Amino acid sequence: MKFTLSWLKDHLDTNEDLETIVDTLTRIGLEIESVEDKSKDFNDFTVAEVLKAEKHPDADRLKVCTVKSIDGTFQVVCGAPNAREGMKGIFAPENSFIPGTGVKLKKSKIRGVESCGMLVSEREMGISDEHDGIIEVDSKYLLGEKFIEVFNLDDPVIEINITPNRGDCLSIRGVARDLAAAGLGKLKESKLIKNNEGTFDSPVKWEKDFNGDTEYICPGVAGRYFKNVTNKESPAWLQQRLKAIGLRPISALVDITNYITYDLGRPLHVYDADKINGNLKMRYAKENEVCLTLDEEKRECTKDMIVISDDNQLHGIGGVMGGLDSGCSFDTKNVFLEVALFDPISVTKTGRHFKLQSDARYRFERGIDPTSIEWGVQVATNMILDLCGGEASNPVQTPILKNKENILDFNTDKIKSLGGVDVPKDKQKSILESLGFGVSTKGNMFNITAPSFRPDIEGEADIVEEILRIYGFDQIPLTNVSDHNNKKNILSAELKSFYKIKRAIANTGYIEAVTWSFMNEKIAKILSANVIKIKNPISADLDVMRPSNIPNLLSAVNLNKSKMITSGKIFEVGPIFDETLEDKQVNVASGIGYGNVSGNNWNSPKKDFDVFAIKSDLMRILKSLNAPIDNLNYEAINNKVFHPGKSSSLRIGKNIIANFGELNPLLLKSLDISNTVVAFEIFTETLAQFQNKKASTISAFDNNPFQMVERDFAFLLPKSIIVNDIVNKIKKIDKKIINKVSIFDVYEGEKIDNDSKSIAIRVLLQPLEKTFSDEEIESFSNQIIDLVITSFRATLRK
Amino acid sequence: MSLSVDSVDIKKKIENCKTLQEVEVIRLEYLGKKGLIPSEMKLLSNLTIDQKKIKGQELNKLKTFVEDTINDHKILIENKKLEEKLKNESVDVTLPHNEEVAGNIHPISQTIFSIIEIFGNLNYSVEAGPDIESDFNNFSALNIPPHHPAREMQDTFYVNNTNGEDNVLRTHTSPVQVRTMLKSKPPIKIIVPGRTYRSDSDSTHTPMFHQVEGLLVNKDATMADLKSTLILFLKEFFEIDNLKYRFRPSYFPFTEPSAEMDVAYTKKNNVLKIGEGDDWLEILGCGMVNPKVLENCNIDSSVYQGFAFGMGIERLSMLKYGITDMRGLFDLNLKWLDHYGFSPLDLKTRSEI
Repeated sequence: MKFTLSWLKDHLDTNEDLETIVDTLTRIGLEIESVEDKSKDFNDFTVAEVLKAEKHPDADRLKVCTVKSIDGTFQVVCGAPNAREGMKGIFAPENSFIPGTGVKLKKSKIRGVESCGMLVSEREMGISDEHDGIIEVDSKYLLGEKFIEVFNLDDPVIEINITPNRGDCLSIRGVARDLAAAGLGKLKESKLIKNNEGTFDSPVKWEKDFNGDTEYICPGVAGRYFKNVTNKESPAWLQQRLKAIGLRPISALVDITNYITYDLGRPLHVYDADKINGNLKMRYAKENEVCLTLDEEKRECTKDMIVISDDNQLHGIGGVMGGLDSGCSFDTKNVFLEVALFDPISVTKTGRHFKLQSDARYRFERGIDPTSIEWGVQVATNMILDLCGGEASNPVQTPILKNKENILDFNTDKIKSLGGVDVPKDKQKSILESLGFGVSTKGNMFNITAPSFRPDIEGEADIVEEILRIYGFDQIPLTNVSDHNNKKNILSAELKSFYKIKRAIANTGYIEAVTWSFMNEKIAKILSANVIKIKNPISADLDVMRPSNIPNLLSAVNLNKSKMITSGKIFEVGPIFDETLEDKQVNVASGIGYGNVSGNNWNSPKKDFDVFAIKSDLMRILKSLNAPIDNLNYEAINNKVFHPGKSSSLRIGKNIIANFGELNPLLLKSLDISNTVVAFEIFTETLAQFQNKKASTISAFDNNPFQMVERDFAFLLPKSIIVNDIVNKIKKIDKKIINKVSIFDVYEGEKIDNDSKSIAIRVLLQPLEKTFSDEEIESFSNQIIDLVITSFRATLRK
Repeated sequence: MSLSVDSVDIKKKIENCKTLQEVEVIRLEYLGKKGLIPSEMKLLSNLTIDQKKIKGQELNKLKTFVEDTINDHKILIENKKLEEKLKNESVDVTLPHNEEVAGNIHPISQTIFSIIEIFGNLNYSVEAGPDIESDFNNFSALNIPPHHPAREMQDTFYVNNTNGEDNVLRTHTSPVQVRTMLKSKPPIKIIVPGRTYRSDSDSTHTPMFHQVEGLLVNKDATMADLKSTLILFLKEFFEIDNLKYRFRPSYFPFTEPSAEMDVAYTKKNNVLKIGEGDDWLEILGCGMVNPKVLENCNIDSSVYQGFAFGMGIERLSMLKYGITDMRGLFDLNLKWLDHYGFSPLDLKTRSEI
């Protein structure tokens, strides 16, 4: 919402300066978007006279002018064809800042002739694109008169953000009313609202098809016929106001409707009455009925839209835009006026359907004053008769659905109990009254009648807001909000896992990234059959919810290659989505690793990050979050992210807690990645069960003094045997005594059978009550050897 | 009978040895099977009981002395040898070390950690909810009517739902307010950080972003408490005690009265300084929970009241950490992530440990 200071002062009697007005607007909830005060930028530019204009000695197109300004006489070199002796123009002195070019003017020599200052064009002043010559002003202006005064640019333009509840402030009068309530002056009586008697009966009548259940769709329409008007260009004051707020003056009749829309928030429409056949009627459109609107578009209507129709054709879409055929032109002699009310939702739907925004739609959507149907006709009449002459008919109107008065009870204690600030009762009353509310007092209670232009007022909370925003939110005192009672957990176990795992993974050398929850369907489909599609994606390659975090992380591989980074460890903790999941999503911490992550160092292994490197990281992460990593079950992986033969799921109890392994080359290929990438996925919620132990639940340290014994075994096994099975089997012999089972060598190759592998196992035995005897050790060794041989078709290597 | 050797002489002899071999020769001389001390020991049997006792003690004392002196001198010789050896051992320690990549925490996470810490100290707990939400939780329950502009396809992402009614990608984390109020009774005191989505993409908007929402419902919370809570938060978050701020009226369908907060800033040489100056930066929206929202969530609005607030985590991150390009937050530029990321040990607790 834009307006100028002088326009505001049409409605507000105030002596306050611009700064106070601007500060107050934001303070009361009409937030300032911008203030354009040209008076500061243009202060240096004044009317000056060209005393002499002679040809430049060394340039045909240039002139050397002697310019007399209020400050003296200056020599100016000028290239404008219209620079001539005796003319008056606008002079920019040395060191002034030229708004149109953005440069500070310096004394200079042009082709050897000194030039002090400049005669400016409109483009140089930033007021138009005109640059064919310098600005000429009428000779009536005196030397030293300010440029901004000559061009009427001295009126500051204020733009405010109007929140959707404040349709009443989409009018300058509404803004003035709020400012008056805030103590910045007095709201003036409107000069435009006064009755004009008609001199004849209107030959065109208003009709409406909306009655009974649908009457609210178009509660009523009023108008008037004007004959023998003269449509012409609007007077300068009107054009200037419209231009200042960014509207293009068209003709007096059209400009009047725009003016009233901004001045009083009352959209209107004027029809060229000679283009109308019969009466005008508000009705629902027929399906596919076409209306040619003012913007020269043929618009196909649907049957829930309000249209304005005469006997032959449509002349407008209600509340959104008028029709082209009956629009007013300079030839218009007779005019018919529309002042209507429409249901906000209906206007919204129609405007949205046509993707058509207009000043009228904007206001109807936010709700306009229903009483404006009466005063709107009066205001329009006054302006039309004043600017275009002619005669007005008696007013015409359809039956009008009366709006119920909005009356509510308000407990004045509510200001304190909800707002937290004491506002004296009489102050509360005066604020409400200054905003147009009717207030009667009964003890602590107010009986309040909300003004017709405030459809947003619904309950006590709204009244609290009205009083507080005028009283000042800055008057709300500060309280002590620290809360040391009822201490409770800040994070649930699940959320703690979700957040804490980030630190655990970062601490293992991974860089955290945050990527879109979306991805490309083509790639997502490789990974899941239950992909969730977005109906209106932001772009074609972000059209589904990601079924895995990993493809997004993989985009790092090629992206960073161009920056000479060919290795990385990257992670993200966030949701993945799948139609079959509860809530359709689950949180996953995913990490990828690729390339030689220790860098090309003289001392580091020249080896790419592999399955066992990421497994090591994964275990460290899981362990740091208290997951019992010695009790993991390895299971074949159940997704298509990973290489089927070089990956595994890890299960504890009934939960898969993580997956890891080499990524599926098919996935990598679809992303144009040629190198191997390994990855892990951790299902963070499954780790919630492994919280840090409270101090009191830690078991006592068992300081076993008996000498441990180490025994090594080498077995020849079929390749299909999984090491973890052997380890678990050996551990089961005696979980207390078998302290640790480690694998210290794995061999497959020429020296042994093709289908076999050799595994070397080291077992650490911990005596419990006394040091082992040789026989006991022998017995354990034999037990281990027998078990492995019988369970895994193994042979002992000697 | 007196000993034929003097302990001082022996000590001298031992300490004059240059090599372990020389020491061994002396050891054999005194302590070997045929050495001086064992030989003397053998002679003890010829003596009277009293003499035997005195002489025996002397011999034992001497034996211990010789042993200790020999051992000490052996260590001395060994250490000297080692020192000689070390003089010839050296590596070029200026050769580069293995540079394992140091991991780090994303600025958005770091910001969320800070927020959780500050509100946690005020006894708020953290809640979460799904990104794919029902229309009711995201809009209707929050008093956003069906024709509200925010629901337009150009603002909200929609996804198909198998039961016919479309779901939305939550446009704010406020639906978690609704979920919390529906499943628990006041008093409620929560914050909800999380991913949010709006169909917007330009230099200052991304289709996915993060918000933190706060909700407090009890019987007596006021706008003064709301204002105080937020000021306390902003001062702690930006670590500025005399933060210049503005608390001004605004509008949201789910709060009444509604407010927005701005913080003052100055911009010098393209660097933003928060907390002072004459320009204002909008930082959050808030208000007293609209009674309609409480009723929509089965909470009696004649008994309970409360406040809610919401802020953009990206904006907070950018302001606090001086990040100028919002899109960098979601890129996978490892140099960028390394530059703006935080050590996992950079804890946001007050003690910083």
